[in-house]
Amino acid sequence: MKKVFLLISLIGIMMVSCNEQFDIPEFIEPTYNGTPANVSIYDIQQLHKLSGVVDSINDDLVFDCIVVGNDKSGNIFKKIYVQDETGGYDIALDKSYTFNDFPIGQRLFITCQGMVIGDYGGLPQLGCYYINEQGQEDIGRIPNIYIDKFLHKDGFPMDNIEPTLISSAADLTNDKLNTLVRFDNITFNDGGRKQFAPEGEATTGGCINRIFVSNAGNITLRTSTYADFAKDTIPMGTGSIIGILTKYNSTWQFILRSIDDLKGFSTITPSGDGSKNNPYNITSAIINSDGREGWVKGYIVGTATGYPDNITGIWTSPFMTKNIILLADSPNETSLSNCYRVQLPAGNIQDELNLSDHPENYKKMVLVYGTMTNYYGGAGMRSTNNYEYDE
Amino acid sequence: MRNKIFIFLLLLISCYASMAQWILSGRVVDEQAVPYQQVKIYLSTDTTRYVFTNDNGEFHINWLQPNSYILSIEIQSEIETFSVNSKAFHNTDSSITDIENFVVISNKPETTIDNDFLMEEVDIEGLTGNQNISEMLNSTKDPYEEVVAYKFSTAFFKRRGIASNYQNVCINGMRMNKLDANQASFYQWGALNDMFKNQTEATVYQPADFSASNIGGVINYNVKASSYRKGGKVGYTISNSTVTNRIVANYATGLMKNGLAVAAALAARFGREGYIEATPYYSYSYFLALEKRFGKHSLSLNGFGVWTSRGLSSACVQEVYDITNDPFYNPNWGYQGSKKRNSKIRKFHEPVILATHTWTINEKSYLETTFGVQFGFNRTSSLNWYNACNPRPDYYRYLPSYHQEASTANDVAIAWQNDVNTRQINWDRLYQVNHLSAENGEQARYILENRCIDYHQLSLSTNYKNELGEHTRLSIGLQIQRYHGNYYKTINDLLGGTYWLDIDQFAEQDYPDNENMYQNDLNNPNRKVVEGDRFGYDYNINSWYENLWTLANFSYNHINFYIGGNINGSHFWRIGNMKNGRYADNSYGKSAVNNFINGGIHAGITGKFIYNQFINFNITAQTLAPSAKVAYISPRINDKIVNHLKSEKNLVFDLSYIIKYRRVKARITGYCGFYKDLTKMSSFFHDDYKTYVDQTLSDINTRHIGIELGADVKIINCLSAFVGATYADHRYTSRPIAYITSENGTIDDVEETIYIKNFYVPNGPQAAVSFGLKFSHETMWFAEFACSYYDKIYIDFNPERRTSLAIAGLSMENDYDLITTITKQNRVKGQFILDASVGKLFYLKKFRLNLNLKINNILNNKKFITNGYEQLRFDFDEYDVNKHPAKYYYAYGTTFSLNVSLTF
Repeated sequence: MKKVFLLISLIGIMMVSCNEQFDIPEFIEPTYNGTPANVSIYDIQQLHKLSGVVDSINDDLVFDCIVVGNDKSGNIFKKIYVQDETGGYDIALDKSYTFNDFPIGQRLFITCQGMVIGDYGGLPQLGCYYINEQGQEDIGRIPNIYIDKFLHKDGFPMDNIEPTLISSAADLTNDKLNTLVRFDNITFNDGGRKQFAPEGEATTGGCINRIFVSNAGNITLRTSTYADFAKDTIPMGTGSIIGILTKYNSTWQFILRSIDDLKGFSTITPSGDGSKNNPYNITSAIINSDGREGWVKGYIVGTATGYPDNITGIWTSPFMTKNIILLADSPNETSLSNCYRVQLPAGNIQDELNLSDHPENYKKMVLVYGTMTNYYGGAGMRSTNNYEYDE
Repeated sequence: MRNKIFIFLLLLISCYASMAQWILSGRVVDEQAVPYQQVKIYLSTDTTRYVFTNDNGEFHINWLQPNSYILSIEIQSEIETFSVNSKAFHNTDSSITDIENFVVISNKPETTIDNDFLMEEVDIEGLTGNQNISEMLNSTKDPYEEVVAYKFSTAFFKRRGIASNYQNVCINGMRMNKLDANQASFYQWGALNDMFKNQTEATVYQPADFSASNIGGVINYNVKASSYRKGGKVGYTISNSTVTNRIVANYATGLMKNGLAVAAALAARFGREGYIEATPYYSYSYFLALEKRFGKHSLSLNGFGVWTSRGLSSACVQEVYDITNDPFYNPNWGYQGSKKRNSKIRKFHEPVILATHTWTINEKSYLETTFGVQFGFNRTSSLNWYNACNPRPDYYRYLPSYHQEASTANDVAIAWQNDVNTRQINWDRLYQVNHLSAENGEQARYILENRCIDYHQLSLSTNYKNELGEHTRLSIGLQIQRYHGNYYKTINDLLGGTYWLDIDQFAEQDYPDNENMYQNDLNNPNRKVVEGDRFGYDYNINSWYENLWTLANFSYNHINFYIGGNINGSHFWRIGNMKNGRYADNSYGKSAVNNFINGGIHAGITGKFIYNQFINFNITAQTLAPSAKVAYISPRINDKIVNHLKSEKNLVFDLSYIIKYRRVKARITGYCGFYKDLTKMSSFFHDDYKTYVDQTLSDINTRHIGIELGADVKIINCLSAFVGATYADHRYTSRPIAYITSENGTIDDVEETIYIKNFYVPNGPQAAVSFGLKFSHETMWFAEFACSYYDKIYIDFNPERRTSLAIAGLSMENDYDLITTITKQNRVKGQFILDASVGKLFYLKKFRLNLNLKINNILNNKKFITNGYEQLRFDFDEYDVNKHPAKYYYAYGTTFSLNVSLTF
């Protein structure tokens, strides 16, 4: 018996610990120590003379930029957008999930020696050299193995990059291509009625175009069916939009980085089925302006005046016109695009509902019944023949 | 353990008329005159009838007439033979008056070769089917079985081409096969080989009488404390193989005067790195046996277990081995700081406790009952990722072949050779990416998860043996097992991240507006999990098995025959602990119970018509229930059962010619087996769709035929030659039906016919031979030299490539070559392996020092593909079989092991 214990203790001495503890790498701030920046993006773009031709960069040119667009939402595929004060570039990378390595706000030093410049549809591009199927020199995505050779991170990513404001058509200049811009007070033509990029719609390159109206004219929003917001409904109303300005030949285009790039739009979901117990709300009524009849409910927020196609909303008393009231989902609505124009035909309806004679109805919730179609240049109700206040 | 044995025979002075019964007696002792107790003695030519030595080492055989015989003495599976003649007999009427010393020196070479390393379970990730090497060492040392156990295991040879669920492995009569897949895990007693040397095994001419039979063989390990001789051993082995250091220590008291016996063992195996880079191995084994004898009864208690943590390697495509110029490249590791960190660590601890009661009712009948429990955990870590690029360095898009541009492909190859962060996992980058997402309050992009199995299995077995008469032995037994396993995964390491969201990432992409569809657990949607939390899947498999069996053995002078049968029941069901979003109705809760009643008959006959030459024939017909593992198509997410689930039908028979002379032992066997209605299940992780793809094949029929040859020839006293060889033809004889499904629904389910009729069953080499010389000299020098050759090695195939869908759009006239390339079965080249060993035994007073050196694969052959499998993905668009080529695993180059042990 004693021998057993002796043996056990002998062995015990020789046991080796097997719990390997690994050092947890800390969050390291990347630093770049190579050739300092010696050119700007504008300078690089000047090296590219002819459209359709590919130019190699043979000198040790380095520029300093910030990442403003990547593939985090799935809308952008295998590329990142970078910009400096002089312009922007889209850099094609043969890598998925680039947002993990190149987050928005990441400062990069791009050492261009060995890269090539080209263009696609009038858009400048940076990439790598390859021979395409037609045997021509072409610009291709930077293979994964070379990405670290050209793109160098410096510092932790920065927050809050200020986009450039585009306030008129004159602001749409080529130096803003591939950079982060902002439009205010835009409305989508398909607001509330279509999704950004549903599968099944005719697409070119897996993307779908939607038009929005801005103070710089009509701009094409281009969204990929792979975006995580592709099946979201385009918002109604007016708001601001931030994103990457691009171009295809002579058409200005715009790419969202994520759904959060849309700010200030109506966020009310459509509801109701047109019955008196469950009337359409305004958001839904605007969507369903196809000539059907039904009950619609909303707050009385004002009247309107002016030509049918270009009316002006009147939101405070005195409420001058009598043949129209404006309903909205929010009692404080002052944006015309979020309002439903209700015709008040001469007779009881007009006498009892008009705001001019009854300013006390202002901001009251009312249900109206009629034909849902267009009126006064927007979604609205004609032949209103019944109403009821919602107490 | 290998001592000289002196046998003293009592000589008879006078003998009376033959009316009196004749008895052959003897006493077995060692060189210090210490008797051997409980040692098995039998006639060399008839293993069905035997006696055991008593507490004084004495035995008496009463069924023989005075003549010349060769007796076998079996001590812990080592067999010593000695010849006796009629002078050794005495008559019951007379008394023993004189003793003549008859000294017989053991002439069997001492096996100082420590074969423990061959019993290492080789862990290979990604192998479909059974990974365990059968470690059945034949206790009667039939030359062919010895070659299978000690040589062919290097080549992952499967005896007769069948998987290990056809073997019954028992300890003290208790069946150890785990009911989920009906396989026993030899790693549960790894490094405790010294305590598991007492083996009884069914052979071609001797069926098992301690357990229900099974086609692949039955083995029983006797671990009762009294079965060990008094004494102990300490040993240390150093090697460059999978385990680099090994220490063993054990001690047994033997059966003491007070009827008590104790035995204990401890072992440790450790090494920071084995033959393959970054495969740390730490394993600690323990064993305790207690026994108390009360007259005719004995009560035994055993407890043993092995705690192990080890890093794994994985099979890779040939391109990877070519660009690294290293057939042992391991893709699972990378540097973290200055340390090598392996992402695939397997940890397990599955101890076993058993209690055995034996009752020697009388000299003709015996009852043994064992009740035991095996329980524990088995978990393997693995990388997982979300919205991030694949962290595995050998993902096909990170290889040179992905690039059409030659210069880029070349640069990738150069990067592989020079940059360890390209060639292996870049852990640092995983942490940096996770830190970034944590800064944004988002979930980790990369994690290490543990895929876990927790289980316990209760087993009861009872076995009654009776010698009904002079020629008949009857055995009858009952085995009952109950298995309960819990399968789940947990977060092992968040790698710098703060949480992980428990949803299915790709289902999320397909159903972005239907949140329910991408939930792994609808009862806990969108759960944020951290280290230690369960997520992903969580289900139980419960199973019962009961088997009533019997065997009747009849032995006569020239003929032995037996007949036996069993009837058994299998019952299993699944319990889901998570309600999967895509299978809300059939994932949570208890499934239907699957019941199968099966049975079998086996019989055999051995005839001896010429002295020491036998002919033997065996036949088995049985039906076998499917295991829970093959029945459920995707048990992680639902309780769907494969469509054509049924019991298998097996019919096997073999015919052997055996000779057993003192100098020549040989056997040649022809076997044939028909297996009908097999079901097979395999699962692989699809890197691009981030989901498991489950494949179940049913209605599989195979036919296995072959020849086995084994011979051991003593050339001169100290030198013998041996050979073991087999040539087989194991093929599929049906076109199975495959049901393929992806767990996140990204790929549509398909059910297809697989055109593999006449394909070879990829269960190891179908041609193998090993021959060599064994040297054992009275100066206690031992040596062995062996040459082995393996061929007819077919790699495991992708069933999807042998379907109509795979060649849809191709025509036999125009695309014949392409169709052949896609559908034919692939074979790897045959290989030679040379092994040698040398050893010396020193006797120092009361100790015996054993030194031996073993060298495997002397010629450093690094071209031996022991395992290959086609990836379970096929490029349906362009029919390019090279897009996802086969993965291979190579046998190690030259390995050595140097062993020092002290026995006392």
